[in-house]
Amino acid sequence: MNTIHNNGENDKSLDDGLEKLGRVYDRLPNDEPPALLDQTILNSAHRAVEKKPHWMKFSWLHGLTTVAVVVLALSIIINQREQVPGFDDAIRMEEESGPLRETAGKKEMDQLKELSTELKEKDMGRQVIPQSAPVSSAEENEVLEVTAGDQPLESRQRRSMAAPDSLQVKPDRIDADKAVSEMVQEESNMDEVELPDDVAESKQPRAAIIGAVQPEDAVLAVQTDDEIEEQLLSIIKLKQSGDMNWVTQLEKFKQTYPDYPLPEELSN
Amino acid sequence: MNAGNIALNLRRLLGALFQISYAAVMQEMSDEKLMQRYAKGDAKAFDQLYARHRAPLYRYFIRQVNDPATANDLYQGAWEKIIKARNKYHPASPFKVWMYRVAHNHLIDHYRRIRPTDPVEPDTLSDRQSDVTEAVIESEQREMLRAGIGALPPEQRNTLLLQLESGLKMKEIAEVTGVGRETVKSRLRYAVNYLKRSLVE
Repeated sequence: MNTIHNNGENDKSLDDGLEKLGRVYDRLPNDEPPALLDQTILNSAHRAVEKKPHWMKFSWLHGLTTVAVVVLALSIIINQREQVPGFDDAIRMEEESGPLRETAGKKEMDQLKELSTELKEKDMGRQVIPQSAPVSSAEENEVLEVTAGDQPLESRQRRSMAAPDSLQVKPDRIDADKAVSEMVQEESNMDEVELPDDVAESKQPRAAIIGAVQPEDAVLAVQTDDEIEEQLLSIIKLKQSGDMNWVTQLEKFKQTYPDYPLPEELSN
Repeated sequence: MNAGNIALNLRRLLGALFQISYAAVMQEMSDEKLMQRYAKGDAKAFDQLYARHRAPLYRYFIRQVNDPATANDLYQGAWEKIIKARNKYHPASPFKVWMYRVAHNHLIDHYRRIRPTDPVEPDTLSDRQSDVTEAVIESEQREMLRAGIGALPPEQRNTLLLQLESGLKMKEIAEVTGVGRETVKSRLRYAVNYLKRSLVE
């Protein structure tokens, strides 16, 4: 009770003291902020709630729109390029690898010309057989025996090169020779080669188109014949060493390459 | 006078009437309503609010630091904080309490910047008293009071100024300063007794 009474007294004295102090305090000069400070604060407050233009509220939309436009433009360009692939590819191929292809084509042409010359020389020696006449299997064997006996393995390899599968020419020797001569003839008259319509319509040079097809096939044919000759050599070695496996190897070889001319050592 | 001029003058008159009536409405609006309107983008509401509280808030600062330049900085900083925090204001609490809380916190930050350690404790009051007494002997009563307030420990000075300038109740001062009501009362009692003594001497 006494404490409450004391508290009450204290509060009252505090209130009185504050009241008296307040009266004196009110007599103090009324300090006020400078007008410039007032203006600065008011300007700041007004700026803070200033309504931005409608488009500024969606400033992120600008970036998004720009990206969308760029993506759309790119997709249209890519789509158009895909629709006309031949035109672009031809130009690009001509620009980028045109000179290289021409070089490769020249090399291959030289090889083929050399080969055809050899074959022609050879044909001169056996003019008895007409090129266009059908050749019986007996005659062919006879010729094979003669050629295989007279000529080394290398010349036979060259002859087989003249009939690559990719050119769709029968592997018969005479037909192969004919095909090679025709091919050489075609290449010498390159401008007269009839190209398919779609290729002919394109602006790609004829030499580039022809060069693009032939060298690769020729190289493949050479690689294949090398392997075949290696196989044959290994069979001959087996035979010479007395290994009887050479018979099975030869059988396999015949099954794989039924039309390939066999050397003298194996044909017997 | 043609019809166009009449229409223009009528428009101006209506505009002026609207401004007057709007200002009158604003004047009658409570601080809380004005702050809410300002938060929604009504700059005029802030003008009214600012006009109401500019002088007391400025005095709160200048009598705390006794240096016009520092007081100006603190005053501007406090208002900027109020402007920035306009959307955080909740009308459930009185605007004046919220505003002085922002100002108080700003002042505390200022004290922390200039004095990392806690400011003067009430116990050191007696040490300062003699200095203050010497300083106020040759001054008039108002100056004595001003000096006396300046010599008070910051907590007491802050509490006293919140009481004298803002007219906040003890509970509200407690809310602003973040201390208990009894602590506020105690600080006020210390401050009043000290100033009484100073003025009598």
